[in-house]
Amino acid sequence: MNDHERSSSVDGTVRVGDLTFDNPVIAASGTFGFGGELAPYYDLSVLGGICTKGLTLRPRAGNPPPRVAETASGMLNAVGLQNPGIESFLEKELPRMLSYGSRIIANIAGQELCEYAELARLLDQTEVDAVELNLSCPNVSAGCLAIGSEPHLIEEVTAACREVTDKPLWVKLTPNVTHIALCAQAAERGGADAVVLINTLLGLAVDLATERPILRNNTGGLSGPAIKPVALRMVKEVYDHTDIPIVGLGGIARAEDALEFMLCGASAVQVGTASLVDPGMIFRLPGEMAEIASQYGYSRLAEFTGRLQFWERT
Amino acid sequence: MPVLKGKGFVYQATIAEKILLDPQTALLTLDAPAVARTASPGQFVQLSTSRFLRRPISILSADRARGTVELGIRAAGTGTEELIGMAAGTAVSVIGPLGRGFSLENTGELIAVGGGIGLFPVIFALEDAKRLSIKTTLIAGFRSEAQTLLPERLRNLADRSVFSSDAGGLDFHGNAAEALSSELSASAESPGGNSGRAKIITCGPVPLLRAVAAIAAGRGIPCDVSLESRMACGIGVCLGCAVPVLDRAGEIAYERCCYEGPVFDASRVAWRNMAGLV
Ligand SMILES: Cc1cc2nc3c(=O)[nH]c(=O)nc-3n(C[C@H](O)[C@H](O)[C@H](O)COP(=O)(O)OP(=O)(O)OC[C@H]3O[C@@H](n4cnc5c(N)ncnc54)[C@H](O)[C@@H]3O)c2cc1C
Ligand SMILES: Cc1cc2nc3c(=O)[nH]c(=O)nc-3n(C[C@H](O)[C@H](O)[C@H](O)COP(=O)(O)O)c2cc1C
Ligand code: FES
Repeated sequence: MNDHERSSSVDGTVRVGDLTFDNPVIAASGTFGFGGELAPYYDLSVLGGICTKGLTLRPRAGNPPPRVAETASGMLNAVGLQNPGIESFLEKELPRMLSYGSRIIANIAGQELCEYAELARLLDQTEVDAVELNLSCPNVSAGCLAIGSEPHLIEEVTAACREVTDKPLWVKLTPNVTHIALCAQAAERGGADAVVLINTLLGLAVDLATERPILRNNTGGLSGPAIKPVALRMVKEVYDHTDIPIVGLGGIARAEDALEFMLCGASAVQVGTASLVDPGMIFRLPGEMAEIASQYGYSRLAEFTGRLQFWERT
Repeated sequence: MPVLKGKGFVYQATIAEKILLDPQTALLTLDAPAVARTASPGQFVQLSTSRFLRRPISILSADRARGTVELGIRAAGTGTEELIGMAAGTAVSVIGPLGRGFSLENTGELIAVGGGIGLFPVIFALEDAKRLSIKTTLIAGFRSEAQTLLPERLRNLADRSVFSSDAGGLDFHGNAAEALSSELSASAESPGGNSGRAKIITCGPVPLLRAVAAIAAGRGIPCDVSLESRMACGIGVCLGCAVPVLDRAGEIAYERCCYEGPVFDASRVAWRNMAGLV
């Protein structure tokens, strides 16, 4: 058997709760638009799933520019949840997204607790495959960050959404907390089907010449390879302290990175910032992960999940 | 991040030629047939360097037959310094052509106003206009006579050309917007000459663009401006490159410099919110 035949004999299927994916690779929220910009160039059905840009009840104009700043091995962003609003999404974007042949995950962000439930309710009767609660957006002034860093609020907002939808509920956590496992447990208690981690780390980029922050929003969210070690540590910590599946992300730029997340406990992975630099990479990822898996003697990608063995303390 | 082999619209290109125009500015010719084939004036490419994000650079000209595109790059920081330091033969990953460029449709006469390195994208537009037999005027603005870029090439591009210099010593003493005003006043016929289908296109520093936009508005001549914004993806997926425009209700809305732009109808741009954009 050559390498290609061997890798195509690896089963890429993974499960996140009751939801099955052809492969573990999902496009992360905010770094893939609604798919329409890349669809002319790539076969989107190659992906396990696609997350939408964060959706809000009403359209949002977003933050004034500059919204992005380059950093060492990564970037800061303060887009401020620019999006057309849930209604326009359901009418104009979702039908096209459903034609891509990939699972669709709707990422939602509320200004207040009740908005999350309203958004989840509006998505309940649609064809989206899952609803991802963005409890971690650091760029919106009202509310958001506070919800994501308070376990009792995480539980409350998850439970409120659980009540209005039978869709798989994924809770995306912010890493800007001291005890990530407590946040994940709160989501679990609230009825989440999975937790997604991590979102961006709050950061600041400074312009020496103007003595001002580069971002008009002052601070922004750090993403890219720079945050991978933080993300891996958090995935492992959550894996050890919860029983619900984990979708891992943060700095994935190649197949090895994705498999490392799975070893730490992720059932599936998302690719964000890497798609901004190398838009073709995510489409090669499922095949490359399978190839590596076969080299290590695995027959299913799902077997990687949670195999990381910590050294014993001496 | 590894450099890519072309699938989709990410291409592996080679630098075919590099000419230094001055110690800070280079003309790179890229061997990139797929980019050259479909490039149109005002569009740009995203180039890889050893830095994390790609760098947006306008297409100065495209030779569809040879499969090459020309780029004019001014060193403004580490990424552009690295690019102008690249020797012929260097491989570079490129995405493009990207964005919406200048529209020459229904244009009877083209008046191109470029300031400094803002002249680069204007070159491509003037070359296309010539091919389309559109009457052309070029107003090229420089700080001083010593800082002219590609003077011979620019002289031969348009039917009429005016070089302006803030310091004097060229055709017109003053900035490019003042040169435009004087040019429009001098042409005795209807605004913008005799065709009635005149269009102004402009690229350069924001104060120049704003002044040109005001002159165009005052005379009722349609005007396309090429804008810059800090970008991440350059392909429309991240919403990082917002440009403030006025929507129909007169409210600020943000459009993507890389996707709806980089060329915008000047009358839609929210100029008051443009300061300090990059
Ligand atoms: C559509 C478009 C077309 C352009 N065409 C040309 C061209 O033809 N020739 C040319 O010399 N320059 C052009 N520029 C400007 C060029 O992209 C910047 O000078 C370059 O990105 C600076 O990178 P750096 O690493 O040298 O500077 P650094 O300051 O180290 O860059 C840091 C970050 O800021 C961004 N940045 C800094 N200045 C700018 C700027 N003016 N515009 C956008 N992003 C910026 C960089 O991309 C990078 O992400 C264009 C910009 C845009 C948006
Ligand atoms: C430009 C940009 C926009 C983003 N928008 C959203 C968003 O709308 N909702 C959300 O939950 N996460 C958003 N994120 C966070 C990413 O989905 C991801 O969690 C984070 O960037 C870490 O992964 P990465 O390093 O692979 O990018 C955004 C990230 C970037 C870079
Ligand atoms: S730079 Fe990403 S949308 Fe324009």
